[in-house]
Amino acid sequence: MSDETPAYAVQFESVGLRYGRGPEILRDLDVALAPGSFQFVTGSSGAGKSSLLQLMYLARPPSRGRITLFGRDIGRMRRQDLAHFRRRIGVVFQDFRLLDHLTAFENVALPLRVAGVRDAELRGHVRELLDWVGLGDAIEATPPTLSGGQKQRIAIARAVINRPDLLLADEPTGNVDDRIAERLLYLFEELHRMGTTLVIATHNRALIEHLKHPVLHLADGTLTGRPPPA
Amino acid sequence: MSLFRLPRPSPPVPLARDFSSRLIPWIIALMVFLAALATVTAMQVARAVGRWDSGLSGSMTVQIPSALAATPAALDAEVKRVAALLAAAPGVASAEPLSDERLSALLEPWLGPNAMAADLPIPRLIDVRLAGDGRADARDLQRRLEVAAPGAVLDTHRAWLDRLVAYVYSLVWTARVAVGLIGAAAVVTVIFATLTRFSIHQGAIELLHLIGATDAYVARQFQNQAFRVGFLGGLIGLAGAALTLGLLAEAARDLNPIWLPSLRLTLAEGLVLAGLPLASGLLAGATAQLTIRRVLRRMM
Repeated sequence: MSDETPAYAVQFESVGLRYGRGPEILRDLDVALAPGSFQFVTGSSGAGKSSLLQLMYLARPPSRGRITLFGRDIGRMRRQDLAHFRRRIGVVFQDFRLLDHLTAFENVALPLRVAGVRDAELRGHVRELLDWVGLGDAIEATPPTLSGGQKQRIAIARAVINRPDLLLADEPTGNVDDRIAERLLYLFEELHRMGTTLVIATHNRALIEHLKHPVLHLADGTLTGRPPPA
Repeated sequence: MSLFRLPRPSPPVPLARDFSSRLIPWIIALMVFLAALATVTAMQVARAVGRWDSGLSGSMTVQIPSALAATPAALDAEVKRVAALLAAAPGVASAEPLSDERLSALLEPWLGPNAMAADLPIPRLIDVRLAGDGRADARDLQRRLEVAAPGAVLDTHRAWLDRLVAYVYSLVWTARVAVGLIGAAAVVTVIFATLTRFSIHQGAIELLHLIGATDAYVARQFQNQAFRVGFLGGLIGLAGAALTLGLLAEAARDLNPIWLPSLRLTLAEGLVLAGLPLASGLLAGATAQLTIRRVLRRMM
């Protein structure tokens, strides 16, 4: 990692995305997010919010344009380097993507294990994080035995266990009640205060208005500054 | 006492729970069983050929036709003279006329017990043993024989032995090719099993990929499981082959087969067989590793 702080954590320049030979579902995206910023992405269902996040967490390459993360042009990075670079990005998936055969502890520990951290080193860290998300008493529970809110918090714990520079969350409050949603917002604000760059894709207008962070609105595959009035 | 009980670590991709993990060891076992039998056959036949080759390379046979002398006594004298001449030739360790008893024993299966007594034009034989590496100059001996006893025939066994050795080595190579094809079939089986597992666990693999797992990390999960399955299958197959060979060896013991290949293994041959489970494990592991890396390259 370079000591020099890049001007932007995320920079999209004329980015477009299409699946196979289909039409472009995202086009002419120009985005520049400063390090440590907190950004909402909103838009109607099918507007391309998840696809935009997929580009950010390097699940797929853009069809055109250039994506730069923390000063690195991802189109020029070697495959091996991309794997290591992804460890700087935490993702909270809309469907959680927890591994059902693993316990809460093992799911949260997974990014550390993948990064080669030894069990003795990661134990305390994982325990601490599960306590932080209020699941210290459920470390041995497997996802099928947990509620949607508990799964969501495990997914968040897994996303931040590596202390990522960039945290992406896709509809993080979509599956939880208001009480849990409020708790999640508190977690995101705390991460923001710690310097993490956050990009949250959501439909939740109450969430957006409560936190008062900038909003990117997606409509017809392109970005606009503000969502249309309710 | 620790602050909390650490859950038992589980592999990130639960490959051991797949149906293929229960089925593949038996397929590998069958292949290792066949490979072990083919390997033993190839090794034993090659060893037997070596024995025949060295046994016959050191000898020649000279035939003295009965027509070379007018009376049996004269023929005996002629045989002794030729034998003495051959014994003095360079590269020859000994040249002994075959006694009437040995000739009679050789002819008995075809002509009955009184073949020598009958009035038959039976040639006399001289058993020539060669010195050193057993590669005496056959042409020189033939020339000496033509001068000393025109009409005598020198049989080096070489032409017959060469044809036999060529035939048997073709059998050995057939067995080796069979082992190669069995290995190729095992590779194809592991490739299909690996691709099936990838399809079953695609979600977990994509997740690992997105949280920063390298291709090596993901491939290692498949490689280790494939090695375990291949090794286990190899052990089962080897046990089956050992049992089969043991039963065959027991059955062959009563036959006292001088010309049949022995089923007793040398230390080196035993080590080759004992290494089959490891070889099948390594082959399965390497195949799974390469297969999964090729599939992963389709991801960003």
